[in-house]
Amino acid sequence: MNTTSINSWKYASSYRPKYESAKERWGDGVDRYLYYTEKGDPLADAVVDAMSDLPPGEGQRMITQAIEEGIDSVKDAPDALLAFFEQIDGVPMWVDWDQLRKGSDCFLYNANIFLVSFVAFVLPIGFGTNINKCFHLTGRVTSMGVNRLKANNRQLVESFMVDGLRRHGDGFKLTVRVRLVHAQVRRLLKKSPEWRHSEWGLPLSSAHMAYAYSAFSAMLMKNAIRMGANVPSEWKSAFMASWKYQAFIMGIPEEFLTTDMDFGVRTQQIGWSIEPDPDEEARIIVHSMINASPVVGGVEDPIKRRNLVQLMYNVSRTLVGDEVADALNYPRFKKPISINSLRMKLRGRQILSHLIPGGEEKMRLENLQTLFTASHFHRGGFMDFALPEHVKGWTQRVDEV
Amino acid sequence: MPMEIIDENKGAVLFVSITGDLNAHTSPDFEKYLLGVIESGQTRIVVDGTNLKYISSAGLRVVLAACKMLGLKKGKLSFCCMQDQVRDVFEVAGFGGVVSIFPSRETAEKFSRK
Repeated sequence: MNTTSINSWKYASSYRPKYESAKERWGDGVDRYLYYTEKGDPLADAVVDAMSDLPPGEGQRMITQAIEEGIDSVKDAPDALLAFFEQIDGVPMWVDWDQLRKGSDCFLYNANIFLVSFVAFVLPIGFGTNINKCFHLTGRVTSMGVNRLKANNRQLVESFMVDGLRRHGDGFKLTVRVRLVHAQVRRLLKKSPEWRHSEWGLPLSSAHMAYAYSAFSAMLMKNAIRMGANVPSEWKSAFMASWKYQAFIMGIPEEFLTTDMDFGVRTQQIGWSIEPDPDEEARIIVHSMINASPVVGGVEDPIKRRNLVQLMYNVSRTLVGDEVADALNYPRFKKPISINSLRMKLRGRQILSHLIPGGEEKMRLENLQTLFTASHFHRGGFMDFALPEHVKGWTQRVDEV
Repeated sequence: MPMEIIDENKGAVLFVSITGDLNAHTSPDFEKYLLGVIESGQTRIVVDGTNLKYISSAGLRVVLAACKMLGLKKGKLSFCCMQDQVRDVFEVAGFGGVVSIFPSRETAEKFSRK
């Protein structure tokens, strides 16, 4: 990969305006990020290409069988499917199951704070980038905000259950499905006349997957700690180790995989420095997500919902900072919430739990119940990943031509 | 891995042995079974986890739903003979406060009869 100069610009045009300032601040990391804005997921992309040549329903059947019963059980599996499962079925040497168990411990102990960090920080800085373009086009957030958030949460919960990432675990299976859905969306969007490749780059690019992974892991943790999450260093590295393996299963390029929180933070910051400033689509999606969060959390009373939305905006403004909050058109508050008051409230609950016999167990269970409420549970298996009809139409139109 | 449920009545106590995984695919069947026996009047239930290899959040949801139903009927749900990895899930999830876990069928039965 070569350093890019403005005269020989070879990436999507929306990345050009901030290139020089980003490069000055982050050096070659910016070029590395840009390089991956044009890279997809070769193994998963090959699977969905191969599946498109099979009779309707056959590809889906093979994938489900391979996920549930193993690739060896699939008769006449295409080479692409064999190669894909060879990668995900090979557990890397660096996976330490004891450490992943500690990651689960950390997650469930601090789950309520992680959820706040997720809604108030990770979502805005995620959808504030070009990542929003594919979600906006597919309508998978604006028209299905609650379902989308719940689907994300379900993957998070399953992956952080003890043994969830083992080959037979629901976290593993769900992560593989999500990876293949991403590949399918990438394939459809590439063919869509509405996708502006020269302006936005490849849909669901590896750069965006790495950015999202860094946001979900390092930045989620960083902001949870800012808000008072109790995370000893052993738990911190265990949480990052769990994410590292999830990212491996998701097919994120190896050079982004890390257990080092600082490295993850840096990746997200590099991404933010070169991604275009939030536009109207970013604002629509971020507001839609924040407004959906009380419904996702099971709050039914309309007044409580309104109050919770305002609280989320307030917390989010504190976490993302005024510059980003203003770019996303957040409301301003007469009484901004401070990090210290957040810490007192959130950490206070944890401290209290240790003073009461059985208090920690109760807190963990309450956290789990909150996660259940905020997650999508579909009777008879995982949630439906079917794409909206208008998205399916793109490929039909193109194939017909 | 498919799941198999075998139950056995020992007086007022119902022993339920699960073989396999309680995951996103098998939990709905377990839910139907467990809530069904509670609805039909069974209030003292011991789940034997000798052959239960894995429980996901979908399985934990079923256990919580059963505890809630049994709570209304002043019943008892307990687990016995659990494998370490499943016991770990319960521990991390804070289930110690809602279900009692015993090392053997005998101790679980004794608890259930009280």
